[in-house]
Amino acid sequence: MKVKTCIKELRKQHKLSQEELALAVGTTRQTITSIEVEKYTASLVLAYKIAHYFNLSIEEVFDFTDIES
Amino acid sequence: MEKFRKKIVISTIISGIINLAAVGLCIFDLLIISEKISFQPVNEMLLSFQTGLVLGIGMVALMYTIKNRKALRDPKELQILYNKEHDERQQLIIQKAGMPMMAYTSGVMVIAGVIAGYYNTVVFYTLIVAAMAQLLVGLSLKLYYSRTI
Repeated sequence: MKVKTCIKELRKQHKLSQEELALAVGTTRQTITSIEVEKYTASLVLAYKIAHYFNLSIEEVFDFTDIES
Repeated sequence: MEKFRKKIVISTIISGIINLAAVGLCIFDLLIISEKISFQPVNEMLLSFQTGLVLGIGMVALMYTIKNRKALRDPKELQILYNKEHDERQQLIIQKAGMPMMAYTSGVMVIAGVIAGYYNTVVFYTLIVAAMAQLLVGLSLKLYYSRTI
């Protein structure tokens, strides 16, 4: 099950590198890359941390429409 | 994070001890090879393998010592190391590759092989080849999942 995200766009808006975001949310750069290219689906905790970092809700960062349909 | 720092300090001490032991064992093996100390006749292949194995373990321990010391000096490096160790994707890859158990059983097989080598060379080769094959499978799976997950 793949979940689309807008992490890349959010990172660009905030002028953040993958490494900086990874360090802030307690993960690795490789995990952020995998989530961005939709290879890996973040756990609820990591999804919350990423969304919380950008002051957004999980649904605003991750697109669950494929799962709903 | 303080708990993790303590864990890294202990890990650095252990890897330092392993380093010293590896150097000591290598010197001992070299002395046996150069016949400076007399020891009961040992299969040359077994002795060479043991020296190589000890050297390899020593090198890995040295690498860990350097990495840990670097992390202990710099809080950012420590945070990166913490993140790497607790990364959920990394844990998933390791689990899927069956890595912890495969590495442990391979280690036990290598130790058993070295001990068995003193009695039977065929058992030594069999156990070492089986351990290497098992490690190779584990590492290949880890590499595969690192690229696909």
